[in-house]
Amino acid sequence: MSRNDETRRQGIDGLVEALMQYIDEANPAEIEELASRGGERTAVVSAARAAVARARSEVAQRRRERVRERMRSASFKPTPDVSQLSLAELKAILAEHVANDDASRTMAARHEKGEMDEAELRSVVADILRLRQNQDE
Amino acid sequence: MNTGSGAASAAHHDQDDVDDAVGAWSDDDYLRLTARAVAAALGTDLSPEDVLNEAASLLLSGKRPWKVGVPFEAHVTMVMKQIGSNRRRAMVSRPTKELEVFDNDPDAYRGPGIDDMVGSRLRVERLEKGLSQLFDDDPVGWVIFEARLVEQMSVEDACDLAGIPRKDYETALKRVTRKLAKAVGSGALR
Repeated sequence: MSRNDETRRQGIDGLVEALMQYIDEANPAEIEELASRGGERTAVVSAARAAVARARSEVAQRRRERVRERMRSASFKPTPDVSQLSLAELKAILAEHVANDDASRTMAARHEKGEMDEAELRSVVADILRLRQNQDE
Repeated sequence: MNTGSGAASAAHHDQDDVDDAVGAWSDDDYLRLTARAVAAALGTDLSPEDVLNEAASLLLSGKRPWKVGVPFEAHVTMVMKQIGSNRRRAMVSRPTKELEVFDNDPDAYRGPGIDDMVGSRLRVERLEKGLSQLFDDDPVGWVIFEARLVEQMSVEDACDLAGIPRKDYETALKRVTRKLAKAVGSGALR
């Protein structure tokens, strides 16, 4: 930006600042005169409301698109929070895992014999879920 | 207008506060915000509604976090000023370089948007010309505008330059800002 351009920009920024200060102290009639520029108050308010409503809708739309994009993405696989799973759910996950993995039979046997407490069961299930997620990726 | 008392953290309000504050705007708030958007849009190709739309979009998407302790309207005003200022910077700087190429060799530039570039430059020049005409019969006002509002000189220095006593400054400043607002409100400055 040339020195001349920068001076021009500063000049207009100064004008904008002066008007903002004027608006801070202006009475309602003065505000309306500036906002409406010869138009109707109701039309100005409707146009402003519409501009903000459009922004709200555009932001919501962009958020929905981002969520959809993440859902489509191969890297996005929601993993259940192990601490929130019930004992029955933990057992079901372990049983399903063992059925598909011969190497886990010892683990299943330990669980059946009651040698695995709930904390260990949660830890094992957390490992299973992590393993599943890695396989999916 | 909601001033935002529900702080989410030590630094910024959470997004729900922003949504609530925007949702609480009354007709009078919309009118005042439009007046501010008219000011922010000066010298750009944006309409006041464009500025308001862009500001709302930045606020509602969380891209311009609202600091705790700052009144919401002051925050919105700052966002609108940034939108206008950035637009003017982009408009004035980008066209210059390409217009120079165009001027030196008319065949050198054949890309789209040359009319917009010329339009941007003309818009800024028209605003500058309008400003100077506005103060044709008010040299003191012109000096106050340039010295105090543009160059941010001290009140004492601005009065010294304008040749007025310090006690007359507030009256002169009010006259200047009212004159500017009337010119913008009537469409003489845009």
